[in-house]
Amino acid sequence: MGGIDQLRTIVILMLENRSFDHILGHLSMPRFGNRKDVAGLVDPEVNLDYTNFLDGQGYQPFELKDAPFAHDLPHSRGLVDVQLAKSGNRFTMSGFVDAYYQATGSKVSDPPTMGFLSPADTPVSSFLAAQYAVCDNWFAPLPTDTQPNRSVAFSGYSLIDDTKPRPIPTVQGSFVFEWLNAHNVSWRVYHCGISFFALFDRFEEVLGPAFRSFRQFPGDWEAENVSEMPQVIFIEPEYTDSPVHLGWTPNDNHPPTAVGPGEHFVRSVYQVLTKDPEKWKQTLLVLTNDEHGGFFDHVPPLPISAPVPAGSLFTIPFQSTGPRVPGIIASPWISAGSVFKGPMDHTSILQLLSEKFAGTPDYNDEVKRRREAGIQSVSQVLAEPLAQAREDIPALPEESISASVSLGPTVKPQTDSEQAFDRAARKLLEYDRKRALEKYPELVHLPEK
Amino acid sequence: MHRMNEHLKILVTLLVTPLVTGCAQIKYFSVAPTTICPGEAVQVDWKASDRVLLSTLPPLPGTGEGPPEGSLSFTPVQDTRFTLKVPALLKSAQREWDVSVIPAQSSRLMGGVAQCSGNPASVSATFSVQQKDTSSRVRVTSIQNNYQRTLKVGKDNVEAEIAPGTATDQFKNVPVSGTWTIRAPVAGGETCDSVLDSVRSRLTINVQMSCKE
Repeated sequence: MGGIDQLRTIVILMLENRSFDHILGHLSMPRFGNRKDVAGLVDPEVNLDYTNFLDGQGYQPFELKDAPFAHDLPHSRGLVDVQLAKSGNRFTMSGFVDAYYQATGSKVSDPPTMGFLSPADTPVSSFLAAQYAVCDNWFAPLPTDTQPNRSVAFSGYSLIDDTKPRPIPTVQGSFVFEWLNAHNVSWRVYHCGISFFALFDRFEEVLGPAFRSFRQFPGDWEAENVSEMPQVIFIEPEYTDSPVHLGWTPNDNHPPTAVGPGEHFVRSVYQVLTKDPEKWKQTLLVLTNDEHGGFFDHVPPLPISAPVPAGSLFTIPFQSTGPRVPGIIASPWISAGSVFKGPMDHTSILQLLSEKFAGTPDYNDEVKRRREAGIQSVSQVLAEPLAQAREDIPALPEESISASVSLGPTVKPQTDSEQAFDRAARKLLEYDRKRALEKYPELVHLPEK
Repeated sequence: MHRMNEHLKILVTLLVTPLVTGCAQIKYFSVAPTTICPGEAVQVDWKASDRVLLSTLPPLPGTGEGPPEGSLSFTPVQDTRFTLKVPALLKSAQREWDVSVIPAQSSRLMGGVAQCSGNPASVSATFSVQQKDTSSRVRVTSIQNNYQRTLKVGKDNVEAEIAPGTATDQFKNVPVSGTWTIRAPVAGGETCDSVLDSVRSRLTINVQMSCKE
């Protein structure tokens, strides 16, 4: 198990909807660091390996300035199929522009789907990738959108293949809170606004003492001694699709939100975790995104299928993972500039939890099946740990506001994801209005239906 | 009483507006052709759920507010972005289309997803450029082979073999619009898979273009 024995607390932060190449593809470019060891983008503006097509015209990746988008990008199951552009038995990754046109009706010379960000716009992600470990073969487990991928992340299974306004169903006993409780592992969730876990209708937990405002995180981290600290911490951003934003602006990286606020959020998490060097020595930060969000990535998905579990609301099995997403592992037990190239997906986190707290990577049958198909554990990043924890705590780059967030008035939820958050918020209020408003006071502003 | 009515009106507006204006929708928007020669016109067509705002960058005369359904013609003199917006108090709908006005000489990457077939085997990609996308006045000057392997390119009645890294003018004056085929023969010692791997399952050419006088 290597370095995981040294760890007391595993901190998991899952942002939204960006691909590896979009956030970290710049790492391998000569003008941004020239890291030949990272499978990022190489000469993206002219490299014909990356060309996408729409009506016979070729489109290349281009440097995109971080900013709010006019549109969300396509990432439903059907349009991810278009993006992957399978020809024969090959995923050509050449249909991102086509999918963007199909979804938005916009036909432009610089479709955002082909945009990648520079380190100036992703300063914290780039910093963590340089100072700790970047995983350049971490894939969203399923080639579809948020809810199925988060379902796999938190249970190993998905009983759905799309995002809809309904409770996200789960396989009994597989949900990560159930698993942690069953293994006597202490855990906590720090959330900004409403928690994504409310979408699983886990209201008792969402309203319980293990769910705390992110505002409490710095104080808790400082006040609690090591033995009191939870063994697993989930940190949640303010979700763009939440029905009410009050006290937090969206910082989850979900378009149309820019990544600037998300970078700031990750910065604040890192600052808290590293404030006490002794606690930091027993901490592992796992940072990833739930899915690619419609942004181009040049690496084909892994040919790991996902059968349809019993009780599913869909019938057609998945034939592959989704596209790559950023994967960063930070800990003082990791050398600066590490790259982990093993195949990973969100079940790599569940493998890690199971190894750490149950002595086996096989969290459940589906996680085991994916492991046997090649998915490796996050623990493998620490397979050859340093003899001693690093004493240095690399200083974050200076903060710079690179993109703004404009908050409009509360809008009637339109997308399936917005409606799903809205439904969960209303159900939460119905479940226990008093406790819900104590925990999520912004919900008092939820417009009457 | 009048004051109360006003208050009521405001309240009703506040309650109803989000429901009405929250559904701003663009059912159709197109600009054609999107690649033109200087002096040529493009036609903009749209259909939306409400009155629209048509704007361009750089600005063109004749843009502005319009009916939910309409059609207009413009003659852009340089590359122009057309944006159609259905303004709503809370959430607008928006689409953008770019028009490219090609200068005296212009280059464009064109191509498609490749497949392997035939005997002898070759890897090929076929793609069509519609006249609604590219004006028939836009003509080929030359075709550049970007690969370190020979390509066979065909369009209409013209077939050309282009050596690695070189260009041909055999397509000079052929319209860019139409159906193109790019072939990369599978050489001895190669397999379909190895060729598809080497071109990442896509084939492209660089098309030098100009406008027919």
